[in-house]
Amino acid sequence: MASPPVRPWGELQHDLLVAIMSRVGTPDLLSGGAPRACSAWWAAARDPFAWRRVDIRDWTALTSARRAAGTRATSTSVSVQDALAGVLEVAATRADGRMEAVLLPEFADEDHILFLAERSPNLQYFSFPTTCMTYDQFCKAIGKLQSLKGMAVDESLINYDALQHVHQCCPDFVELKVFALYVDDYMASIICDSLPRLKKLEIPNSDMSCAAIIKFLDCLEELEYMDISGYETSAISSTVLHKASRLKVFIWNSKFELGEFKDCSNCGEHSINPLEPCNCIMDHKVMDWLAGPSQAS
Amino acid sequence: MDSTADPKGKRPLYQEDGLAYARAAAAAASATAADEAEAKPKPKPSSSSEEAKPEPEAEEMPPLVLVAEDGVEVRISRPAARMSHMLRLLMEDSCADGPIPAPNVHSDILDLVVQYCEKHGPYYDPEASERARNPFPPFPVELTPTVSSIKPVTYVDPDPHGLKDWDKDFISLDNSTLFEVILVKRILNLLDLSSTPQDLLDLGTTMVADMMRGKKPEEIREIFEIENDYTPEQEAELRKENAWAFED
Repeated sequence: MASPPVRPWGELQHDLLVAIMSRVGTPDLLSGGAPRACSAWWAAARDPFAWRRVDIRDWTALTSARRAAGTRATSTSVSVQDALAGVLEVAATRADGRMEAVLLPEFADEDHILFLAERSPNLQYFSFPTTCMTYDQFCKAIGKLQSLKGMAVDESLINYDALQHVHQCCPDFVELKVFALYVDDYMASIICDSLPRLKKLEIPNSDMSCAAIIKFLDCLEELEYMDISGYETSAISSTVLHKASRLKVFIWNSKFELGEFKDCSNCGEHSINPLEPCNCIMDHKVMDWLAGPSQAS
Repeated sequence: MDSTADPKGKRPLYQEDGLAYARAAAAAASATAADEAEAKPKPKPSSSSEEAKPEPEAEEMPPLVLVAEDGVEVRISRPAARMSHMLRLLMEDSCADGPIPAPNVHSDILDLVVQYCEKHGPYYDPEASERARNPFPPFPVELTPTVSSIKPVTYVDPDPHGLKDWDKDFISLDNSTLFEVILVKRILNLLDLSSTPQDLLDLGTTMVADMMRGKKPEEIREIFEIENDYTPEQEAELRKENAWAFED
């Protein structure tokens, strides 16, 4: 067989190039090598389609790409907030109103969110991990984001004012992720009362009380996806598992390897040896399930 | 054979999309290449072409015959062909019995793509991809099959058939082949432009994107053998936009 003809990458169709560019990642698209390789790639990197999803969480990667581009920029004279504002300006311009999702770094502030809301009113999702003492700018931004479907926020924004405002302004809102260390019944109530139509809830890497989990499962009738993984202390009881069986996806693994719990929330036993779990866990048979297939027999 | 050449008494009209073209070509080809189909002792679709099809299970039907641009025929089994939106439609319309031309695709590349489809075909669930295509934002969620609360969920294997490893080996092709593979998957998916997990287009473009990430322009030009027609004006534009980064 004759070998297939070699076709140069420079001639790859524009929309295929754009599909590739949308997978490269924001740091490279902004100041990496890809947009500089040739004219066609330069154009593809600026296509709005490649800017529908913007991930700026890895600020180090962004700035190292910038440094690798051989600029003389000194990071000390520009504050990170200003630099981020500059990045968002570029992203918003290139996305041309078609940005769907943006993931912000931890030092982002409310002004950045407001900026995005004004420039990309069709935004469907954002991740804003910053702790917020005041939230009026945040609420102002929410008022402009009527297409919002979901958000990831710090637990400081889990209050009635903010969440009810979201519920009022964003009719399509179905997804919430919370960055929290500990989730109790009260926080669960706020979420359930303010956002009763949630379909997806993610509160990973936090310790959640059993009452909170059950509150979510009882009150959020349209819930389909729940991720409460990464906890240190298990609060998963057989009741929880039973109630969660109606969900399409339920992710509840601990942050440890299979079966390695430290504390039992039921009897308060601390530093459990996984080979000799406390009796209450054995009684509830939870340990069997958590230990995985190797102990299924 | 005439009934197959003109299924349901319709003459395919030429449209902008390739599907009608492929249908017309397939219909014409099957009319002229009637001998190809005779080798299989399969139920002749001529009787069923008039009605809406409940056809026999796909596994019993003969493989499709794709004809590459160099004239070489490549066979693809029906379950594997279901992975291509276009081929699926052809099969549903009973236009897939004769040779199906695959223009602009060399047989080596077509072979590779067929290999991919044969591997993934048995596990392909079009509805799952549909679900994956409209996931909750922002990034595609790999919805596992209904998770039972009785079973431990500490680790759910999203890849029970070991397809990911196979994919990784498969996609370590040299650049020009990778290029062709991306293009071909595009052609076969003429009407199915969105990418789904495990989709070959997704696989290929992700692979290329991974190769591009974190590299300097010179390195990229070397890897992909691109001619440098990047102009100073374009560089100036880039720097102007990224004024936050470039402090001169």
